[in-house]
Amino acid sequence: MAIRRRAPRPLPRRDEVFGRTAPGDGFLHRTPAGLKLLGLATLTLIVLLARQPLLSLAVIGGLLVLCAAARVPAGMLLSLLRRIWILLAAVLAAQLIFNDPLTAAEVLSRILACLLAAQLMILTTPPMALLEVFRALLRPMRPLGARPGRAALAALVMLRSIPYLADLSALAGRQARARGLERDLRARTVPLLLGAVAYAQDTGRALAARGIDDLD
Amino acid sequence: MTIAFRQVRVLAGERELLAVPRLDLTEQRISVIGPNGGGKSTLLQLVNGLIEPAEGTVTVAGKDTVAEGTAVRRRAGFVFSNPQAQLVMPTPQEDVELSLRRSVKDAAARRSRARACLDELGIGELAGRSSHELSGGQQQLVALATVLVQRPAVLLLDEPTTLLDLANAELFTAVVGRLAAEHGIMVLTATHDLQLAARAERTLLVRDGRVAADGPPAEVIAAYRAQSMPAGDDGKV
Repeated sequence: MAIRRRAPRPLPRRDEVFGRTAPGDGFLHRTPAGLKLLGLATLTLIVLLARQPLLSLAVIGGLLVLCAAARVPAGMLLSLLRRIWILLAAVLAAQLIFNDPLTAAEVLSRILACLLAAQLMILTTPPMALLEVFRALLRPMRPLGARPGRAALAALVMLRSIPYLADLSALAGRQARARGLERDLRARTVPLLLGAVAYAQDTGRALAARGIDDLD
Repeated sequence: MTIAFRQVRVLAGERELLAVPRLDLTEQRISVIGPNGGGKSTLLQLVNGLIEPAEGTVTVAGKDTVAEGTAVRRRAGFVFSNPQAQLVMPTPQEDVELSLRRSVKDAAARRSRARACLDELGIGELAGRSSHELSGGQQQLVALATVLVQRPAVLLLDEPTTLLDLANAELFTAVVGRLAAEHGIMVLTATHDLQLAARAERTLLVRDGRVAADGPPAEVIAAYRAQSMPAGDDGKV
């Protein structure tokens, strides 16, 4: 009897969520990062304060239209949901248990609207442009001792390390499975923690070797 | 160009990691071999000022690596074995530009110099790709570009081919050899690859925190083999 096998799933591309921009040069790509950030902040504030599920759904619809108009593949926008569906399901379940269906719909639609708006901005903005905005926002705090260039570099390294750590986490999981320890929390987390510390040390040393200690 | 070690001692707490009473390096291609934990990386990092000696001095072209660390690092570029820890920007182009942020104020000039450097290494077509998507060999070449774009006088390579497959290791070695010859860059390579070590003009064997042998590659490699083989084994297969 022939054995039916599930088609192999491609390995996930771990840098799709963080630090990756959608290819293209639509109008959203050309809009200045600061303006997009301002738009995102305003939209988020309105959605959070209004607490209207219909408004949130309208925003989600609007974002999808905007996504198409900016020639960003909808799959890239919605891939975020595939990665965090467990979290969203947990929020929905908690709301249904402790509140009522209307509140659950309202909370979930608000979260979705805000997350998709942020994802659309990330997809259409190079990380460096976002960091420049971040740096500009911190600049007035210089007299108080803030170092915008160093904070921007820290944020950059943090963004850059996410796909690496995701790969490290997957590797730790595979190593634990190979030893028959897939249910052992220690076997899954200790290699990840050690790897993360080593990566941090290596990155720090490499930056020091290049003479880079901030982005100013 | 001379790299000079004088009465150098590196300590980790009470433990001595490396001791180099006197060493002058002047050759263009120098390899450093030896067992793990013997002090190869420590020796290289002393040259870049990444590690400070507890005693003694290390100078690069007369500049003290501690007192004039920034100036030394500008002249001595460092490439580590794991390129993923060295690349911090989303794309190779941006990463190479980052290296020029201090020295080249004009953004357009930075862009064109970074692109020219990537082209010179034969990876210009990768300029806009995500660094995370590149192969190990390509990432190592990008890491090399981030260093070479600063036009260093010394290139310090710490086991640069350890994580590369044969083809990528050969490619990396060939690119380094060509660029070093063209630009007159002094290259110091710490490696376990004895074939790579043999291509140098001078080889240092560093073990147990000492420079145990120093001379022509063939002699030093033979000494290393003899010291590393179990008694009664002539090393022949």
